[in-house]
Amino acid sequence: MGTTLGKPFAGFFHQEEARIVLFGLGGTGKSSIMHKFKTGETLTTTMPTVGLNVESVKYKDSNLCFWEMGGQQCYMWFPLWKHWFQEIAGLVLVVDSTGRDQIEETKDFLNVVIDEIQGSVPDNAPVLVYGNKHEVPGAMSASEISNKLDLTSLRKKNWQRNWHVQSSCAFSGDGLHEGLDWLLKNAERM
Amino acid sequence: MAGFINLEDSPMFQKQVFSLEGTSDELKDRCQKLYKGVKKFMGALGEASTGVSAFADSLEEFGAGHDDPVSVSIGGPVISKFINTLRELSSYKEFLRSQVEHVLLERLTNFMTVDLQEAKESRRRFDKAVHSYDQAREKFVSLKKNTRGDIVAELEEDLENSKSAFEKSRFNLVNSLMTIEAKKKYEFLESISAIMDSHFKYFKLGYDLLSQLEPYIHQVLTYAQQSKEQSKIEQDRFAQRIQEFRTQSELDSQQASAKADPSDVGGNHVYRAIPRKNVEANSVSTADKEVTKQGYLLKRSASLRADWKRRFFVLDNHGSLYYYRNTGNKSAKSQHYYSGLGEHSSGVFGRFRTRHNRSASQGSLDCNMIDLRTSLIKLDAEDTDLRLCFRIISPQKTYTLQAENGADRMDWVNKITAAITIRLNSHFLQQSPARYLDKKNTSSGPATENLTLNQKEDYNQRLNVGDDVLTILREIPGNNTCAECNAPDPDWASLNLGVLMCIECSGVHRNLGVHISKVRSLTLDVKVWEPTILDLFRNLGNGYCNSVWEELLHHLDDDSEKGSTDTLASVSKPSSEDWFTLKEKYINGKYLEKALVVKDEREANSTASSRIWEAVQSRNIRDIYRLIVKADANIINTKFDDITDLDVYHHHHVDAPDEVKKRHDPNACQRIKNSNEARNCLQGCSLLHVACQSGDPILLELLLQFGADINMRDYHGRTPLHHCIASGNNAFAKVLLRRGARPSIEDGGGLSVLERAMEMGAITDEELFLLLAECQ
Repeated sequence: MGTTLGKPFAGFFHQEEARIVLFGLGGTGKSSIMHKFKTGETLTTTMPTVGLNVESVKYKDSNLCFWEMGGQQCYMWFPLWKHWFQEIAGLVLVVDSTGRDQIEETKDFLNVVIDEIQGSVPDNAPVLVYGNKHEVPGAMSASEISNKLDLTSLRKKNWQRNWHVQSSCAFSGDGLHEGLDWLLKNAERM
Repeated sequence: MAGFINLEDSPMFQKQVFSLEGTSDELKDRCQKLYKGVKKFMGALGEASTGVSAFADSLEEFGAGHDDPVSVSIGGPVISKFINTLRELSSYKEFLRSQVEHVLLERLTNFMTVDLQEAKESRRRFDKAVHSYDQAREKFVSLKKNTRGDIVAELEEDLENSKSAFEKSRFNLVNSLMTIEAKKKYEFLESISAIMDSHFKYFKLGYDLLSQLEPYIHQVLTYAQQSKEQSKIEQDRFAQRIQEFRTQSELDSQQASAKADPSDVGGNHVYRAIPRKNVEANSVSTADKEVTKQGYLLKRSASLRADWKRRFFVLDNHGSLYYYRNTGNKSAKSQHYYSGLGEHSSGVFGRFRTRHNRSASQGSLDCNMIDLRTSLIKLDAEDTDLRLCFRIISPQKTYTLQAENGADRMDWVNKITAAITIRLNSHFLQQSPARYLDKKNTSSGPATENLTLNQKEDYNQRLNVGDDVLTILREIPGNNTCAECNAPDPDWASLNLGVLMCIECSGVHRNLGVHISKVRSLTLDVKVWEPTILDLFRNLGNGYCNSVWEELLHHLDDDSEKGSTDTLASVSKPSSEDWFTLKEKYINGKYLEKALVVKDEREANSTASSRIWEAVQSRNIRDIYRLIVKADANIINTKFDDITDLDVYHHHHVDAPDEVKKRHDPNACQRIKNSNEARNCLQGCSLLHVACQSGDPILLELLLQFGADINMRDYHGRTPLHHCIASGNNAFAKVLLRRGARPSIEDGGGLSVLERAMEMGAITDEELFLLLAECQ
C-alpha cells in the first residue's frame, strides 16, 4: 500500500495513513519495535503500556499509523477492540521467542483476536508475526513459532488470510524491516 | 365704616365715595399680587405631584415586576410597596393643588373680574350721567321769559329725566362700592382658611399613610443593614478564597514543573500512569457527578485554517470529558438570581424563596463529548513545536489541545489519563467478558453468545478473585511498597522472583528478560493469579525476598553504625522519586549481577545441591528460594544422582547389551516391584520428580517458575508427568501439561504417558484425557 489520495483538499494537506495494529502478550517487545520504527533508536526505558499507544511513522514512501495494544490487559477490553481495529491494513503479533511457557497462551490469544475482529477487519488483512528477541540463546525459531501457533489454521478459517513469521530483535532492528516489507506488500493486495 | 350717614348728594357724599374707590383700587393691586403668588404655588404643587409620579414610574421599571428574578434579587417586592405609597402621596398632592385652584384662585379671580370691575363700570356710568344732568340743567336755566310753553315743558322733562338717571347711577355706584366693602370682610378669610384646612388634610392623610408603613419601613431598614453586614463578611471570605486560589495555583505550578521532568527523560512516550490510589479516590464517588477539572483550553480547529479556538472543557469524576462553545445571547448571560434573600429566616420574606427556587433560563451552549474509552493521551503534537500541546487520540478523531501554562497542561494530562483508566475499568465491569474467556478455551469453535449458568458463576468467582488478589498480595509482609524503590501500593509483580513492584520498576524488570523476571500486573493480568501462585507469594513476599537479594545491604546498614560509609554510598537503595536510570542500575546490579547477595563461599556447589534436595524433600519453600538465589551455578535441575553414591543403589555387572536395556524398564526394577511403589526408585530423578511425588502444588509452582526442566527423564526414562500419572495425581498432571510437558515422551519401557495412563485403567478425568490426546 503506497500513498493514497483522499479528498482533493484533504489530500493536499495530509495523506491517508495505513493503520497497523500491534498486539501480543505483555513484555514481548511491542513498544520497543514501534519505537525503533518511529525514531530508529533503541528504547531502553520501557514501562508496561497501559491501554494503547499510537505513533505515526513515515516508512519509505508510505505513511503508517501504528496502534499498539497494551499486552497486560489482553482480554479485558475486547469489546473496545472493534473501535481500534476498524479499517486497519494489517495485524502484527509480537511473540517473545524466549518465552516457551507463554507460546500456548499466545496461540489462544491470537485465535480469540482473529475471531473477535471478524466483520471489523477485512478478511484479507495480513498477519505478521515477529518472533522477537530471537538473538537470545535458546530462542524459538520462526518455524517452531509457526508450528506452535498453528498458523496454518488461519488460512483454513479464511482462505484470503496471509501470514508470515519473521525473527526479529527490537534492540538491533534485525528483521524488523523485512517483516514490515512483507506486510506492506501483502497489504497492497487490498 | 358704619356706612353712609346721608344718601343725599352732597360734597360729603362725594368724599365718601372717593374714599371707598381708593380702598377698592388698593385692594385690586393686592389681589393681583396674591393671584400671582397663588399661580406660582399651584405650579409648584403640580410639578411636585408629577415628580412623585415620575419617581414611582421609574421605580416600577427598576424593580417592581412580578416573576422577574432580577426584580426579586434587588428587593422588588419591597420597592413595589413603596411605589404604592408614593403614588398615594402623589394623589394627595394633586388634590391639594386642585383645592387651591378651586377654593382660592377661582374666587380671587371672580372677585377681581366681577366685583371690582362692576365698581369701575358704575363709576364710568355715574360720570356720564353727571355730565348729562349738568347739560340739561344749563339748558333749562338759560331759557328767556318769552320762550314758548311747549319748549319749556320739553326742556323741563329732559331735566327731570337727567336728574332721575343721575340719581339712579349714583345709587348703583354706591351699591357696588358697598358690596366690595361688605365682601372684603369675609371673602379672603374664608378662602385662605379653606386652603389651610386643605393643607391640614393633606398632611394628615400623608402622615396616616406613612404611619401605617412605619413598622414595615423599619423592618426593611433592619434587614438591609443585616444584609450589608453579611455582604461584607462574604466579600472578605471571597477575597480570602481568591488569595488561597492564587497560592494554590503557584504551588500546583511548582509541583507540576517538578513532576514534569521525569516523564520527559524517556523522550516521546506515553505519560506514566496515575498512581492507583488517585484513581481509586476518583472511583469512590461515582454515585453523584462532580467536576474533576474544568477550564479553558485552546483547541485546534479541524478546518483548513487550523487556527486555535478557545473552548471551555469539563472533566467529571465519571470520566466524561466534554467542551462548550458558548453561543448564548447577551441577555442570557446577564441573567442570574438572588440567593441572599433565601437565607433570611424572617417570615416576611418567606414568599421570596419560591421565586428564588425558580431556575433562570439560560442561553444555548454547544456541548461536545469526547469518548475517552477508546482514546489515549500524548504529551506532544507531531506537527507543531509549541510547548504546551497535548493530544487526545481516538480511532475516529484526534484532538490537538494547548493549555495556557505548563502546570495546567500537566494537570489536564494527569486527570484525563486517570479518567481514561476509570472509563476502561467501568466499561470492563459493565460488559460481560466471560464469553471471551470462554472463547479462549474453545478457540477453534465458533463464537457463542450464550452463557450457561456455570459460566456466569465462574465469571463472578473470577471477578471476586480479581478483587481479592490485590488485597491478598499487599497484605504479605513488605508488599505494601515496591520491592525496589519503596513506592507505595505496588500493582506489578514478578512471578518467579515473588516480589511486588511499581510500574516504573516493572519496566526495568521486563528488560531483564523472562529468564530472570516474569512481570505481570496484579489488576490487568487476571488469568495469572491462580490460588497456587497466590500461595507461593504468601510464602515469600517482599520482606523475605529482599532479605535474600539485599542481604549485603542489610549488613552494610549494620556496618554503617560502625562508621563504614564508603561502600554504603555506592549501593544505596533508590527511592520512588529517584531517576529512572538510577533504579535501572540498581535493579540490574541486584538481579543480574547478584551484587547484594551474600555468597556461601565456604561451601561447594555439591553441598548446595544436597541442601536444596533436602529442602525440596522437606518442602521448605523459603530455603529452596534462598538456595536458588545464592547458588553460583544452576541447581534447579539437581538430580538424585548428584547427591548419592549410585554404586550401592543398583547392582552394576558386566552384562550383555540386552541385559542393560532391560534394566531401564521400570517394570523390571526390583526395587519398584518389591515395594509396589513407583516413587521408591529415585535414580535419575530431578527436583521436579520429587515435587510431583510430594503432592505439594506450591513446591511444584516454585520449581516451574525458576525454570525446572519439565521434560527431564529419570533412570527409567520417566518424566515428571509419568510420575504424576503413576501416582494418580491428575491435578499435577494437568498443571504440567498446560505448562508444556510433552506426553509423547516414551519411558524406558517404550510406553508414552497416555499409554501408561491407559495401562492403569480407564481415564476418568475427561479434561486430562483431552490434554493428553491433544498434545499427542
